[in-house]
Amino acid sequence: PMSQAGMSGRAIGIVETASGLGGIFGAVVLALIIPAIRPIVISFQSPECLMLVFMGICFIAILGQDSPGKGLVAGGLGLLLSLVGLHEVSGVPRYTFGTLYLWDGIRLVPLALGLFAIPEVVKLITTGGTIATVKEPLTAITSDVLQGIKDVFQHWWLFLRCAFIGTLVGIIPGVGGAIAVFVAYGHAKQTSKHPERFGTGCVEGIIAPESANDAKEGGSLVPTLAFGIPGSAGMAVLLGALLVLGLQPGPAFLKEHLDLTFTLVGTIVLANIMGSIICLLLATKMAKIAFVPGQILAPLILSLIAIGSYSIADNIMDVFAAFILGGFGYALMKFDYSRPSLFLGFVLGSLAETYFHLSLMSYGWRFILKPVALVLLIITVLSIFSKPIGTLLRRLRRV
Amino acid sequence: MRPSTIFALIILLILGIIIVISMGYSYEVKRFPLIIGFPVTALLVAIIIKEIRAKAELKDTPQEVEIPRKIVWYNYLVAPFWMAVFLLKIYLIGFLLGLPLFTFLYLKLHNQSWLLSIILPLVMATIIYGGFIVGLKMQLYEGLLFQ
Repeated sequence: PMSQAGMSGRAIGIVETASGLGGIFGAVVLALIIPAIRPIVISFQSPECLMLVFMGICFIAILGQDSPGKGLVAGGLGLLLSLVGLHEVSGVPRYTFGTLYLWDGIRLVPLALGLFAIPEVVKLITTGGTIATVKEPLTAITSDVLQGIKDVFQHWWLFLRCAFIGTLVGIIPGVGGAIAVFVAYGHAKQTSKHPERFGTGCVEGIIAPESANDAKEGGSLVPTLAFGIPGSAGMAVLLGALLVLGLQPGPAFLKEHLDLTFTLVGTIVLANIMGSIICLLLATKMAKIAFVPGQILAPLILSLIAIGSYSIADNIMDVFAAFILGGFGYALMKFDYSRPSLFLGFVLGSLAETYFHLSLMSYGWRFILKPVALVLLIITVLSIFSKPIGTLLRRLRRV
Repeated sequence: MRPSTIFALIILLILGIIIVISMGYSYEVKRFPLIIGFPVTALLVAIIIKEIRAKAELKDTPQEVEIPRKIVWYNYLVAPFWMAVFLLKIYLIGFLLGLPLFTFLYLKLHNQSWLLSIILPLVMATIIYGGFIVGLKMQLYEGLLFQ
């Protein structure tokens, strides 16, 4: 609405400033929380960690998805895909179908590229056209942008509240993104003196979601680093990247890599500042990429996917694997199965099996009855069945 | 049968294969896959039943305008065709030749100008050679025909 009203520059100014400052807020909260949660994290043992893994996968599968059932199936498929290869304890090859390539399991990068990048290229090839459908790119006027920056500081109390909401929502594993944004937007509307202006280009309606959207990233790093449970789909990708580098997030991470944790906090702060400055300066130019015809972008992106897949292990089979998984990823997208759930299940699968094995070795099947583990299991089960139970209760009330 | 139901049945088949194969492993090796596999299979069966019921209900409701089958099949085949050509090129002649050649072919067959169709692949070849092979010292796959 702001762009339609000819205030696109002001909108860009608000978005970039609120996002940048929101991200810094989330990082600061993260830095303050870490010393407090370390003792809690260290007390978590394998049963608690196992339940957290399942909770994270279930939350991301259920919350924010149109079909929770399909999200759970995708999460389960991801877990099963992670089991391909040599069994960590016994060394027995599982589901390798006699091929040496699968002894190391399916690699993370070809899977990520196949699930997320290739379906988008397929869309470009089949539909043609451009990524963006808006006919004219935004034209930012400098004075409007500066006014947008001032707007965020003039509404500083709203910004702080929404950034706090975003951080808090980001801490809950599996919840993030859209939920943080909607909760913040809803709060801003409820507390506004002019709620009727929301949706018509109101400044508060942009500050609220943008503050929460970036603040949640700092919050979602808490479960990602502390428990190895990604707080969002983006954190699942970060988790995968850390694993590729040989770093295992989890309770031990805060003990052994505290310096790296604070480096990540600093990186978030720096990235938000740089990102906001770069976007403010280059937004209108960068937006033009969205108007490049798909016929030009498709071969370029395919080339990058191929080189990216190959570069992990210098194995041409990884390129084929990426494209086969790409076909699978496209089908998942087309039929509404959650790809982030599958990816998260894959990233956490071997960790889950390790925790499961350790829990059984240490406590037998009674590990489920450990208090914290039991509470986490109950929360997970309730979250899975909350919708059907709610529907059943509503039907009973009508009767 | 709807495509989504067919896809769900394919996943069900894959899950069935996983479960059957798992039965042949020792207890320690098969327990985690089966703990995941059985509930996921049950959930998928429930989804398939729901979809079949939904299809039965849809028969009685007015349908949206259907896209001609020819266009639907074209959309399903065109992307796999180009992916197959892309992979074949890389497999036979490697990255350095295969990627620019594919780009040229794709652009030209999609009615882009000769100038763009030649310059873009040349730039790509330069970036691949300069950036990846010389700069990052990567040994890119040379292709079956040149090995």
